[in-house]
Amino acid sequence: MVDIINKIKDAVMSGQADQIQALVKEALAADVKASDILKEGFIAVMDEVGEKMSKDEIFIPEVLAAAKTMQTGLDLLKPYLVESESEYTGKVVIGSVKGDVHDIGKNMVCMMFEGAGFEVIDLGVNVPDEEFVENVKNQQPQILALSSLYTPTMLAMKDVIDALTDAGLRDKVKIIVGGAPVTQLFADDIGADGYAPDASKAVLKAKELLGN
Amino acid sequence: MPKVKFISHQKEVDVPAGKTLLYAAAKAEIPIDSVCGGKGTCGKCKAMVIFGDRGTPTAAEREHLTPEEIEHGFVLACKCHVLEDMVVELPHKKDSSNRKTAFVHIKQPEVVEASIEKYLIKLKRPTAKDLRPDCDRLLNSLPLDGLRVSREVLATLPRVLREKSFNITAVLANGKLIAVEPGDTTQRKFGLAVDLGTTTVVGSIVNLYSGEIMATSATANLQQAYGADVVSRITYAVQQEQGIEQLQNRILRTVNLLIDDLLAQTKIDKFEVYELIVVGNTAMSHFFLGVDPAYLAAPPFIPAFTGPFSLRAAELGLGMNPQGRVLVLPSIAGYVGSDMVGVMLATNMDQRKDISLAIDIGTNGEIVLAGRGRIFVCSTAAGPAFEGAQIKYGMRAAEGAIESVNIDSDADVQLKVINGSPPRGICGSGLIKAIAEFLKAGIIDSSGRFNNAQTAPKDLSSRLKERFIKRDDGACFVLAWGRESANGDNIVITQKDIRMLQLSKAAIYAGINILQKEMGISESEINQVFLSGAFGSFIDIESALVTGLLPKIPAERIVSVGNAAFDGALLALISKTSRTRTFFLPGVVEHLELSTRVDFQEEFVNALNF
Repeated sequence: MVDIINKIKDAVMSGQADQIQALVKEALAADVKASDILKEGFIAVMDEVGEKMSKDEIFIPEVLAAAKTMQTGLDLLKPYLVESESEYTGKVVIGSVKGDVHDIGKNMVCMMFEGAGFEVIDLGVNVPDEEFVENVKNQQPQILALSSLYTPTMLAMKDVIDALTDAGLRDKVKIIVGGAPVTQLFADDIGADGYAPDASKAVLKAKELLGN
Repeated sequence: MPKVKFISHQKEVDVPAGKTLLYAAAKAEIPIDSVCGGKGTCGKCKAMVIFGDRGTPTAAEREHLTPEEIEHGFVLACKCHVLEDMVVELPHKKDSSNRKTAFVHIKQPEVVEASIEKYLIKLKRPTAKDLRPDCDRLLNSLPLDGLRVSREVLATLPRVLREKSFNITAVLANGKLIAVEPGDTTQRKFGLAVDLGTTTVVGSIVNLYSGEIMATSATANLQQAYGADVVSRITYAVQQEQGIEQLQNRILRTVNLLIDDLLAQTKIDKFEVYELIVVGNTAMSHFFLGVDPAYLAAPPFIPAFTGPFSLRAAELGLGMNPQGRVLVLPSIAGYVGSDMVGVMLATNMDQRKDISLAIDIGTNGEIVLAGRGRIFVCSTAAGPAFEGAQIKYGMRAAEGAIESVNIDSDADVQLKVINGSPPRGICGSGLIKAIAEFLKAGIIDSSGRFNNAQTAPKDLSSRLKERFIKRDDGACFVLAWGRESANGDNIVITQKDIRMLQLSKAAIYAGINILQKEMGISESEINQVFLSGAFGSFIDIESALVTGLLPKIPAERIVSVGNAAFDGALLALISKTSRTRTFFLPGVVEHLELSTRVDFQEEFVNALNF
């Protein structure tokens, strides 16, 4: 089992999306539990991917290729996972705030969350405040993640937080913020619960806020 | 009010207690690198407090300064509040302005065709039989019909006419009477061309008869205290009360300093300067005219105007003939300014028959692709890496900046430093060269990742292998050891620096690709590439090709054209025909907004690797 799990991890790390489904099938055929493939394989390797990304050892293209490989593998694995929901870590609503159309960084955060077993609801880019509020209300996520890559749109993060406060939902969700110009000081200033400098730290921060 | 003395600049200012050192420096008109505009996030505005209470270090200061620096009194100027008299030393910096003027092209136009015309006229003296008022007397003798005498001209007309016994020189701008001067001044008429750079403002004074450039000068843009890039400045302008006025005052002061210098150098009187042509990015054009730039900064990046915009010098308080004309050349879009129109004019792109590409690389990379009867432009957020910001040892191209790096696999690193002084950091063109050399020597791989002494190619010399080091901030490669550098620090390129450069070069490359797609051509069909701007003039073209900043186009088709934006302004000053051509460009040029295109993000990711 260790052998095939390692093959899966290598395939994800080197972004071999074309081989991952065959490897997952091989593992299932060898009676490796789907939840083990997820935990020992995908979640473990995405942790590694995140760590290497934090250290700038690997970069956006490799992270995206790894994430795509993981996605492809997960698509095959999902039907086998329905039974056990034990890996469910939480639910995240995420989006780039209004005025901000940057997609790549936010997508990497999505993938890291998925890799860590979160259910991710991606609202996309240039998301109006109301849409965040609506989704917090209806989806009841534990985490709301806001992205801004552009100085003039940073203040839109505060607008979202204020809108949640006005809607009486502020204490229903933990809010984390990120993006190139965002800093811990800024996050504190606008009343966010957490800040993370990159996609993998975002997951760590979210887990920390959820107390696990 | 407490006084702040900047000993490095021998300047002293009073500031209200509680204001920041950055404010004090701005008041003293000392340019400080302040990339983030005082938010405490960039860490570039370091200063050393020699005397006075520096206060408790803030979180931002603890993040950007080492404990030793804090111990020695270093602060971030934007976070240090002046509560009592202070003496402050700023890190020694020679301005990069000198480098900017060095490459101004002096092109003699074929035909000088100024829009300022002078006519020497001898008026009939009033007599008992000729009681016409002065104004009518003047208008009746002018060579053109339908002219108007403005209140300003009228105000002094009676004395002007009589000063040289009714011999006068009439000055017309685009067929409008703008001044009447006593006697014969027809030998002298001058104009100015100015490029409002975000960092440096360059200007020339030109003889409008011969087209000769009499003098050229450059000065740091005094707006820098409000942020190094236009987005920070727009943010400031929008958020502060009277922010727009402050920024306008700063740019007008900068231009006036420049004009004063040009006049002093040439001994030309300000009243002999009748015209000023201005180019700049769209935000600078807004600031120059005091126009609200708020909606330039957020999608869909709508400018208040594209122009051209013309007004009297007096309306802006500029130090030239107050009745002289100021013309801001037209912009194309929020992030494609009149500077790019200047580039198109100077390179003749709008009239060429073949396919040509022009790139102006700065914080924003502006790209123009012309051919097949169409002109496409886009602006791409290259980030500040090319200007040395967000690079660990990044700096502007000034004294002590590494501007070139050579790596000989079986020998060592060789550096070329501006002014030959001990290295203090690396500028954008040096960074590109360094990374191209890293790739060639196998110091980094094609994904941009550093090798190390073990994984590097076997034939790498031991002296080079020693240069791979690990620090708290990750893998690095040492360009200059502490014993050779100006401040004793190892000057290194970090892994993160390489990632920043990858982001920047991919943005430019992806922008070029999108324009090619839109025109339906491949890169091999591009006949000529113009690299403009300071960075484009100093960049090593081979390195730009090796790193993939530029598409694979034969190097002989790529030329640096210097400050072509400014050349365009000069052309517009001395040639009415050229000037008129620019007026049509906003209507002809097709602007592509990249930030809303999904395919741009795909191209961008694809272009990140080397």
